[in-house]
Amino acid sequence: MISIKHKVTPLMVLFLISSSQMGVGVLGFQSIINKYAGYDAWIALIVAGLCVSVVIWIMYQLLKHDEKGDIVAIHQFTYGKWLGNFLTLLFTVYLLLMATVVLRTYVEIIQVWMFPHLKVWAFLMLLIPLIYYTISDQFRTVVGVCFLGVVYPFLLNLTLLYPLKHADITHILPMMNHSITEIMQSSTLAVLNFMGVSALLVFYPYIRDAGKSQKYAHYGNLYTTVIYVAVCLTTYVFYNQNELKEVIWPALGLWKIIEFPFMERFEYVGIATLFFMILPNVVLFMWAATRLVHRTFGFQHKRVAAVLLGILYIASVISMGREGVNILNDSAGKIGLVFLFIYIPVLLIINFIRRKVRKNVS
Amino acid sequence: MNKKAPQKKAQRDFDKLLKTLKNKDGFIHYHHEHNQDTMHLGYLKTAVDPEKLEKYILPRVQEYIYNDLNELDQFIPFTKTELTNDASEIPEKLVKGFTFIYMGNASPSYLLIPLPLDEKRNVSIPEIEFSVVGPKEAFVEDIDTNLNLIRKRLAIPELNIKKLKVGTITKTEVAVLSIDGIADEENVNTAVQRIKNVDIDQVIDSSFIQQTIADNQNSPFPQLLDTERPDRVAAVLAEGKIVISVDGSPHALIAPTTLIEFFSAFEDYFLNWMTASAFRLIRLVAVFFSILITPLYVAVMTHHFEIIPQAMLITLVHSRMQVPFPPLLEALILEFTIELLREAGARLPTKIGQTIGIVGGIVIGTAAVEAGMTSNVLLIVVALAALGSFTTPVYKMSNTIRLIRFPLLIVAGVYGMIGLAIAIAYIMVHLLRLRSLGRPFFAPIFPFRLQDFKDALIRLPFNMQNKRPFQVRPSKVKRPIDKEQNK
Repeated sequence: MISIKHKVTPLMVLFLISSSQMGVGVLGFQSIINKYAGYDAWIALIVAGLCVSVVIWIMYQLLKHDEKGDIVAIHQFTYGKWLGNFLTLLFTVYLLLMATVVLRTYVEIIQVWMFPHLKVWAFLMLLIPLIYYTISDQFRTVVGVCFLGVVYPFLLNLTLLYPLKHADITHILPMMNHSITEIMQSSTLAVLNFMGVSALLVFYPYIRDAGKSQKYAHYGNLYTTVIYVAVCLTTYVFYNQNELKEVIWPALGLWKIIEFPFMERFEYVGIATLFFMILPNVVLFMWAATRLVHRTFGFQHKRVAAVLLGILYIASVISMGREGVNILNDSAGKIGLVFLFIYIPVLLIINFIRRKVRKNVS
Repeated sequence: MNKKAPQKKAQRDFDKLLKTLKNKDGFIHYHHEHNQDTMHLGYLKTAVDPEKLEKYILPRVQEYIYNDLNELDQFIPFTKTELTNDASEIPEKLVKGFTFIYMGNASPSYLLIPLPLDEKRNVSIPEIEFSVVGPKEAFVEDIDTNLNLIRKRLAIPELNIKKLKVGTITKTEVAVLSIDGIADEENVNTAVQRIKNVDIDQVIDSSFIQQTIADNQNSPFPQLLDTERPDRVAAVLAEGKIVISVDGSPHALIAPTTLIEFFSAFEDYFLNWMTASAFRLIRLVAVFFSILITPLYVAVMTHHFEIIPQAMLITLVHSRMQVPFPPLLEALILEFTIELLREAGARLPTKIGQTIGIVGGIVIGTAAVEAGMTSNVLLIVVALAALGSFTTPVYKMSNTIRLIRFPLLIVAGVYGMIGLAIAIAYIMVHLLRLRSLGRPFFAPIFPFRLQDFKDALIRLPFNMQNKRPFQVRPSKVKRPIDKEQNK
């Protein structure tokens, strides 16, 4: 049982959800999701946001029966101890994969834009202890990082106004020129940027009045969607579709044209500021993974954190180059899609049946 | 015969005591005959106030209108006198400034009169937390004077003072102050418990307590606010905070505190809220500026000179043209010089200290630039950063700010902006983890408390501050204290 002292207010769910979703994807999703829906892909973001809202609802349906319950308890209840723990372990691996994807993609951006000769292993030596320092303490520290990870980079949203000077609205006209199928296909790609919500299954017991926090989870998801759509629209009116095919990180291009009397090439500042959005991602996933192992096997939290960070370190160092990062991204996207939209609903159904059976027996 | 035995033993004890005391430096011993007995009076010259002794004690003793010590006790105009039979207690009491009287067979016990010599400074004006307007009193080294200064401002029965003794050798008196019904019981208990647990042999100043009861002793950040202003102490007590006063220290400690409180000068409350808020914001900007500007310069000049617009680049390149060092080394040398100046200025007497400022600031600065050791621009940057760190009202915090600049500088030199971001994240996480008396140090930013922001980054007018800060978990949230009390 988690004491009330260690719990956080329901409002914090808003920050936890949106900081777990937003991250490194903001820089590049615009040129990925337009694969099918073209310049209408921003609608796909709204669709994806709505679908994720439904998933959040499903998660709350799963979790609300037990204030203490998290995914470990649900798995054990639904599948029994052995199978349940095994599935939890798979989920842990998935969280680790997500953390690796985020971290590795960010390092990739740094390598391409700032330091081509960056030694990944040396750079991570600086970063991994920071993550350990954050997750080895109480959950509140993690929440604090998530909170600041939403509040502080909020100013970056203002940078979207600058490129509008060069905007051409005809780039996104006529609207709704793509079929529903194309938009749906694009939204499957867009979902990758919303996948952080799965951490909710782990931190749920740490929320005060957890049952009442559902609306904040939806608000958090809404905030993410709004920001994504704003970023996406700004990108699409700035670039035309042919240009978009060539650039990997369109947002960096948007920043590049920002000029102040004392500063040019804003993307250097932007990438540095983006670190405060990346950190909550990695920290939250790593904390969740640590917590799961701790809950399942009862090992000491700090030791688990150290071991998992060791795995993260090795995984990030060996996944070399742009191809490696792409493979990581794609596989994480596919696994996440299956996890959120197939596994979670199925889990809800099995859990429902299981509970009915239990009730009848007793 | 039997009746005489205890008296004989007492006499033996006394003779033994006298023998040991005679070897002590400054022990003074009078004796004269009185009613067939010998009357003894002894004290330590350095510990006793001679004026009190001559004025109040000696005349009374010589009047001979008493038969035993109990009667004598009635004539002596001091409370807190003690009667004891135990001779072994005497040496300890003498050191504390007591005078003993022994009357021999008539009454085989000792009368102890406290006549301690009080050497203390007068209450003077605050020097570290000086304010142009407002009260001009500051604490002194004597705890009773300090408590009196606080009591004068908070003359209410609810003012609760718990006294403890800390330090195995010094046995320093430590007082924990709080206002009943406003301060949180748990805070008071935590403070008292932690002070009780302090296990060091000497407590010379409140800083000793500040460091030993801190939540995280391996943090560069002070976690208890120290102040020399009784008015500030009275104000925070009324807010529901706890104050720790230590004998021998002119600084009282305030807890629980927050990071932002370290950047609020008490003068902020004497000015109108708009000016006060503006000054506070200037101070906060100055701190950020002070921490970040030199590392930013190093990061940009080393790794990202693309950031600088062309017009500015010319100025920068021109000023750096003759400098043989990389920016990191250049900045480290200059920062080190500034620290050298500050340290030299702080260690020297005030009058010479000013000279050091001129020598260092003007002579070395100009010469360094002319010799091509550093660039003009960096000199400006470093000097401004130093200036920024001096705007922090609490001296200990301004030290911290100057200290954390150095790791930032090095990381910025190695990994540029990204390194800087990571280093800031380290500080951020550290602040998130930090507690002051068990309460979050980074509040009201996180945990986010909108309510407490009215006296954080800015200070809103008093009539809007109708609630006590949530940070301290006050028992009574609403201000002012309920009216029944004022009846």
